[in-house]
Amino acid sequence: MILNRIIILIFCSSFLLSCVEDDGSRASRPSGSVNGMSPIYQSEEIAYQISVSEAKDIVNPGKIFTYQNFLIVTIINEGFHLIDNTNPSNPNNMLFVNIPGNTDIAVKDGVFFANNYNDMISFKLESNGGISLIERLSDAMQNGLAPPGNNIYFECVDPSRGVVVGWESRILNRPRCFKQ
Amino acid sequence: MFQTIKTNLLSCLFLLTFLSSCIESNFNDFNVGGNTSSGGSLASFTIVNNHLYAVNSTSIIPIDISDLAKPEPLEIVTIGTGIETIFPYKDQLFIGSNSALFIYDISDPEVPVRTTFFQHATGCDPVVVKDDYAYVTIRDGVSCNNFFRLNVLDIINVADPFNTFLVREIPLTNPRGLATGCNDKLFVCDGPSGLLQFDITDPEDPVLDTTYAQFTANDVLIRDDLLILTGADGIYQFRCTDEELLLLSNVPISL
Repeated sequence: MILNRIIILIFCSSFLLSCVEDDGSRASRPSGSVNGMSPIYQSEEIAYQISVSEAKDIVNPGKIFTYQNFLIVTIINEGFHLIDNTNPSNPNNMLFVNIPGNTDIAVKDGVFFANNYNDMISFKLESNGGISLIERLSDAMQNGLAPPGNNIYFECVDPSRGVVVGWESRILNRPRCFKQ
Repeated sequence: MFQTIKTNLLSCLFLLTFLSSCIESNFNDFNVGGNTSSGGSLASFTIVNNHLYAVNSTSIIPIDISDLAKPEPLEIVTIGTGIETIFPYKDQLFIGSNSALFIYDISDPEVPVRTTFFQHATGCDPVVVKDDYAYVTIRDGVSCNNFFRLNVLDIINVADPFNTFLVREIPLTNPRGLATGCNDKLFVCDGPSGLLQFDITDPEDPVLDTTYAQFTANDVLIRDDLLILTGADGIYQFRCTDEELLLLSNVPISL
């Protein structure tokens, strides 16, 4: 009789423990389907492709700033225009630097710092029109592993599937990840 | 042809990089070296001496860039939610979120320490600081979480970073970026209402001088006597004068 109770107790405990393990995150894991967010992946070849292209028209500009005699105009998620502003009466749109997922940049002593999605990269523009990457600080922006917002269930990020370049709303079946 | 011009200009960029290290910095209100880019009130990255400070939606991300060949991420400083902008002033970082203005002391540049925050109405809020006064615009908009439809310019006395207080609130239409310069002027982009020019000789009592209503004004930057305005249809550059702005050029924006 007592043995039976102990066996039942052990059985129940192991069941409870397995539930806790399954939760895996701070919130309890939902028992069915819920609204949540799912990562959008892109290959590293595309997401990390930094390049210089010819000057192009400015469409939907983001932020502006100056560096030396240059005017820089960012295009959210695309990169920035470099404009030679030595003569402000006749600015010369020189080139465009393509940085996927870029939202802001800063420059010191000719070294550009920019976010490339969630990485912070630093690079120089070479006189031959190329780019020399100096450093890539992976996930320095700290946004990579969870969607924006709060109290959201989401599909956990699987880095083997590529770079997270965005999030989309989805119906998720018992998602393991939750952001408070 | 294009390649040759590009090559020449890029060569100039690097030559200038070297030359300018000898030129005295003119960013009086920015505690930054003269060889650093300088952004406006909407920036989310800023460089102060040998440190890059970036903000994401919740935190300050400091990176030691004293060795430009080897940037070193430092410990991240969590602030809260809805962080948008960062503006350096003296030994401080002014950080705009959609509900407050935070001030962080960077006497130790590796460890930003919060001195205070100034709670304000919820909305998008670029910030600039001049002579111990912070100028913050608060606007409503799709992504601004502004439930009260409030559109104002707030002027906050920040002389004592432990005791900041509102000195003036001015109702506006839909304010965005702002900048100080051009001989004690404050320029505020007020969206469809244009670019507003305030005289801030007395920062506690700004006087609206001139409204440049022909521009739908989104962002403004002032360097020395040059004012750069992002409008809906172009990036306009002006020369500051005692009286008004003289238009120099316009780089068109394709719609």
